[in-house]
Amino acid sequence: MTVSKISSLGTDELVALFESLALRQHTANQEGDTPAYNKIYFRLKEIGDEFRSRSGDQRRVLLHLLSHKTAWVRYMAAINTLVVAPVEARGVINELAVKSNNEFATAYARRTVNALERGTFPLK
Amino acid sequence: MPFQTFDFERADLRARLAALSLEVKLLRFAHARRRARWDVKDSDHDTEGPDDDDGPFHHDGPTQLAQNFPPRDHNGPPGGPLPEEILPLEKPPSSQKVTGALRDATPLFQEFGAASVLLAAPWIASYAPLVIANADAPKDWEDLKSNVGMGRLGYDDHHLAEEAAARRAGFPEELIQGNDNLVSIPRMKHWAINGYMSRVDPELNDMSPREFLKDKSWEERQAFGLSVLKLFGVLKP
Repeated sequence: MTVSKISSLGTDELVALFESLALRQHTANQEGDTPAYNKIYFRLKEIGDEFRSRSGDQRRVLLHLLSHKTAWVRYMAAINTLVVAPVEARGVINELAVKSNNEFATAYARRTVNALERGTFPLK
Repeated sequence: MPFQTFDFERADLRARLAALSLEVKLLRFAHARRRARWDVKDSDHDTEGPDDDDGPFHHDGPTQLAQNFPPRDHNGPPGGPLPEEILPLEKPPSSQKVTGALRDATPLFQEFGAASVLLAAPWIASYAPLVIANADAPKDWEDLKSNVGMGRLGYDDHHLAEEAAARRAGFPEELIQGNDNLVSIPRMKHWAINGYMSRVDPELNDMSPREFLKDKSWEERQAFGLSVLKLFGVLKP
């Protein structure tokens, strides 16, 4: 989907797209499909940027995904809401970094915790 | 006669697999005797029964392999039926789907017990060494080093500084294959780390770790490789 198409979507549609892409990225992780993972990474980034550019920075609409049943979706929602809801997002990342039922979510959460502590995580 | 060391790791794994196999057989027998109920499709009521393997299993007793797979986020002992359709009953058609299902199965081994997983997805039995190894707790550095070259089932020798990338960058073979660069890790962790190294990363300005390390020193490559072992729970923090 192009950037212009993303910008034409309503909030609910965009949240649904974010969730479905994060689930597909989870599958790509599990199945070792790196090209799919990387492609989805940039699409999720576009959606995050789109929410950020909307009036008042609308990334908080992703907060309900912090309690999603799939650990990877919680992780992706958390790193996209770190700026607008740091306490809630950091809480989820910390929890995943300790333990989850998904080895990728836990590994990436640990990396994010390290990067936040070093101040090298790109917060914007 | 030359002195030979006994491969305790391999013997232990064989013993665990034998115990697992026996436990599954005993469970099948016990459930058959109790006329275990099976999920049936409307179209095939007449052919369903405890002797066929074409439906998810309902059972009400705990199953355990607690010594190998302690419970995680589960109230009570490991065991009980798996949530429906959480694992494919039949072996998936592609190797990617097989890998995905084996990754899904690893925490289920820990949470529900190996026997419950194998009853729900019997095809996983032939991949049990991979899943058992993938469920390993983080190890000490010495543990990872001492098993290099042993060819253990379910494990691979892994290069801290990536082999092919280091070769492309012109590092000498004695460094790449040197003792300081090799550890023995679960094969599925090896695959996961290989994938991780080629996935874009926001902290690396949307580069993959492999791209990021392309012009880095040997020490930086090894340090990065070490940190990744900790991220994936292979090496103790």
